[in-house]
Amino acid sequence: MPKDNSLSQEKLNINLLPEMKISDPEVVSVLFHEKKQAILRLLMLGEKNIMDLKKELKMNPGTIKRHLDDLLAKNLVAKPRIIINKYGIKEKYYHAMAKRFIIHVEWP
Amino acid sequence: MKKRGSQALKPKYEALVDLKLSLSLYKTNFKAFLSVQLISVIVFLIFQPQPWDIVVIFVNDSQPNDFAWLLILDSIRFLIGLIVLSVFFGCSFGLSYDIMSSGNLFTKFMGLFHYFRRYWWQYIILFFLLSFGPLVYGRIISSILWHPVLEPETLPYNVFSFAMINITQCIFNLFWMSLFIQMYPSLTARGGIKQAFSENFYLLRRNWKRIFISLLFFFLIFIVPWIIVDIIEYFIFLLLIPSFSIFWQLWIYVHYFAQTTFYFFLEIPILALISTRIYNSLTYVVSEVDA
Repeated sequence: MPKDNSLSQEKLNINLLPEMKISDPEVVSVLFHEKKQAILRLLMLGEKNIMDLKKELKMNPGTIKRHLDDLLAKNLVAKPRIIINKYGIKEKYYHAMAKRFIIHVEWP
Repeated sequence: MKKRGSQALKPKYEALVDLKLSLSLYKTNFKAFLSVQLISVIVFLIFQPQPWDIVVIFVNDSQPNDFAWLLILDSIRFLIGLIVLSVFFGCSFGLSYDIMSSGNLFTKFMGLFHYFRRYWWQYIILFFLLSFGPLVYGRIISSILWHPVLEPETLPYNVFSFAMINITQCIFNLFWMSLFIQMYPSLTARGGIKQAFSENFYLLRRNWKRIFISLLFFFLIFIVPWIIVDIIEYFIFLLLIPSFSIFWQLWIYVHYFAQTTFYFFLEIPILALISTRIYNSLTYVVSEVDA
């Protein structure tokens, strides 16, 4: 997939929270999912679209999309930034909400 | 209409980008496209008139009226097949829209059901619009030029008229398609046929050259070679009619199979991707101007 080079600078300038505390058990369970973790790890390093993630994780884009939707629903991934590249193709770029996730669960 | 600034390319270069990009996106999403087209072909074939219908009538020693009924039933069946085909044709544009405009850069086979449910009657109207002109033109030009009697003295004229019918039909199809093709991506983007209709002509008025050249490239690569082969074949058939062998009969089937496969599995998806890419690049310019 050809990409617009002008994006590369913007991709580096995303602001992630230094850390994020998670105490909701449902979110924790999402975070402990192996595939979601792998996606989140990559999104902590920088903005990526589904095709970038597909290349790195060797996963089906549909599956990646499903995991991303779950991560979005639990606020672990920020709402995607939509750009139109110079070829007139819309691209959604995702990034993690924080550089670090701290899990704090008390039970019972 | 303001041209895009430093990134603006000449229409012919844009057309090359359209082709290159469409082929590359088709490669990454071929499974979804192939599955949709495969279902489309199967459904179409199911609704085609079946040869065993005639056999049944002969075997059952039927009345002459049965032939009339058979014709009517076959026509209805063919029409249903065509309607289903037109919806699947439109769904390919929906899938292309998923790839290029949803932001996800991919499409899934399941997208077919979404577009089928949502736009089926709009797709039928658009397909009718897209096919109406070429059908009428084909009838007119054939009635003027076609000479069906194959006599030795009319053979050169037959080849000439066959070639003329095919070439002019191809040129007419290109013009006709340029007029209406942007309605498909516009329908998915705007969600309504009226908006798609007005946006299509809005884009066409201001960017006819861009649309035409991109489709011209598409025709030159995907349609014209088949027409050349058709003409050559027809020429050979006429010369070989006295010894019309089983080989040539088989060849006709092979040719028909190859052409149909090529049409369904490559031409339709690429056309859908090209027109979506044209639409995106043009509406991008529009939004830039509006801003």
